[in-house]
Amino acid sequence: MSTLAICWDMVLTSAREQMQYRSNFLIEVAFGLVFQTLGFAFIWVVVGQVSAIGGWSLAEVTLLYGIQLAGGSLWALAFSRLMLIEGLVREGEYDRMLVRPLPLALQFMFGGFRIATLGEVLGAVVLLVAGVTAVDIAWTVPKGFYFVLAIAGSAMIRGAFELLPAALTFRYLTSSPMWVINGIFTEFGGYPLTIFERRLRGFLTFLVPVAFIAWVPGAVLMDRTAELPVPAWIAWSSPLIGVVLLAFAWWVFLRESRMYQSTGS
Amino acid sequence: MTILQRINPAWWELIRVTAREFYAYRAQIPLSCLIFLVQFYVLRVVWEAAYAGRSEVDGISEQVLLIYLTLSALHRVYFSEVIAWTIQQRVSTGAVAHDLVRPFGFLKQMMALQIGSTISRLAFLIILGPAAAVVGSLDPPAPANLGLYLASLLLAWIVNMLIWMHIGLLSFWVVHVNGIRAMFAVANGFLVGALVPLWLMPDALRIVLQALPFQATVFLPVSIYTEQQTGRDVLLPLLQQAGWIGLLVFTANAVWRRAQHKIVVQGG
Repeated sequence: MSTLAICWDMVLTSAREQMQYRSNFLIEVAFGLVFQTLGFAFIWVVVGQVSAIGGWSLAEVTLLYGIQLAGGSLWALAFSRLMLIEGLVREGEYDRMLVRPLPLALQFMFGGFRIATLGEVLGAVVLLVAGVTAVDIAWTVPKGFYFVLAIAGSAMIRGAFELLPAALTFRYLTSSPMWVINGIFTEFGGYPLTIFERRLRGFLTFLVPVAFIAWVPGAVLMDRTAELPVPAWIAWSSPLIGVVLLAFAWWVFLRESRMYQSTGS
Repeated sequence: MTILQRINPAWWELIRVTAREFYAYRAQIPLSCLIFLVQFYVLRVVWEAAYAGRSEVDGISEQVLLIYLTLSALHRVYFSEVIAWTIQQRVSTGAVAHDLVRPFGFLKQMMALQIGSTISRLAFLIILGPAAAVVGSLDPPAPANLGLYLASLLLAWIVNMLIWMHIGLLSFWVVHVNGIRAMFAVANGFLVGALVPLWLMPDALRIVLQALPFQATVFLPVSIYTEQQTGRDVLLPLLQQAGWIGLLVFTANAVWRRAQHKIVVQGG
């Protein structure tokens, strides 16, 4: 059996398992949708009251939010098992992953496919379409490519900053740092960072690169790179930043996984 | 014999157990406080950016809004959903069978847990209160409103418990109530009016939310605190809350009577 076939089987198995409780499955997809779009509903109501925040109109913020959601849900779709890492390590489930003849990365990717993530993807697509149609973007071929790659880059940056704290679980047996960082990305990610004060903006650009999740790609698409705290060429290379960060994070994750101590039973 | 002694001692025991359980996982506490403050900070900044120098939006000044948001955020810390989570847990693991044979009603046990969970969190109001006041703003209300607010706060706490009790009781019919519970937990901030006060919502949304019980947990008491009602109107929110409590107690009883016939203990 080829590796690809095994991966596909793993996805199907988890999907079938979740479809057993049909109404629950529907509720979970709806949950994904509600969870991700509610953050936007808040922006819609607030910005709708006053027409713009931080110099960005409702349509522009919609696009930013859509990019943020698309990146986040793409990552969640690809690596949903990572969220369960605390249980995997504490209960020794990780043992089973180690003895299986499939690369660890693939097991993390396909082993715990959460169908509910599809709801999140759906929400992201709706917002992206709404944003792209409402904002007047001067489309060029490079911009078209950049748009697609920037979403992938956004997913990879999210991924890198989930893998790094997740790696600590092998040492400290808690995945709470992962949730904190995840929270920072979802809380701040969908806004033009111009609304935050300078120091926080610096932190969110250079230390925890939330800026590159949506604000930077959005500014590139709308030709607003002048207001970014980074030069335009860095803004254009945001997908590349994603690749580098993700590769580094995976390396750290594998190194840290050597700290894993089985439960002994 | 004092009134306190006449209360079934099971109440105290369960409240105590819940509090001890909460502090057994105390490493989570600073983390939850941190997440709370970050979320609240973002909420404040977004609203500030929306006001952008305007003194009022729809007749609501930025200062009033800030107090509203601060107090609402604190409300949400203390209005937990533990009752829904526990009922679901007891039903899905079959532990509900043990609960039912105890000489203390199942719903009373669950209510005791909810009380315990609120009491155990009171201690970190010492940190969260001032922290929230620094990140947000918290002026004391007029003395007359303070009394009304405290009365409304108590009613709000009861409404919150009853809402989550209903969601928990669903688990007698739906095997996995987790999804519904999580959906309500997420939507909650919006439904109760903690993110956007109902005054500032678009009309259609406001009308829907006014017809639901959620606003009775945060929006109504906090709007008393921020003195948005005057004269006899001040009593209206309290009446609304009392009405919701009456209705929810009635439906909870009706649902519970049916739930007892639906118990499936998995795995025996």
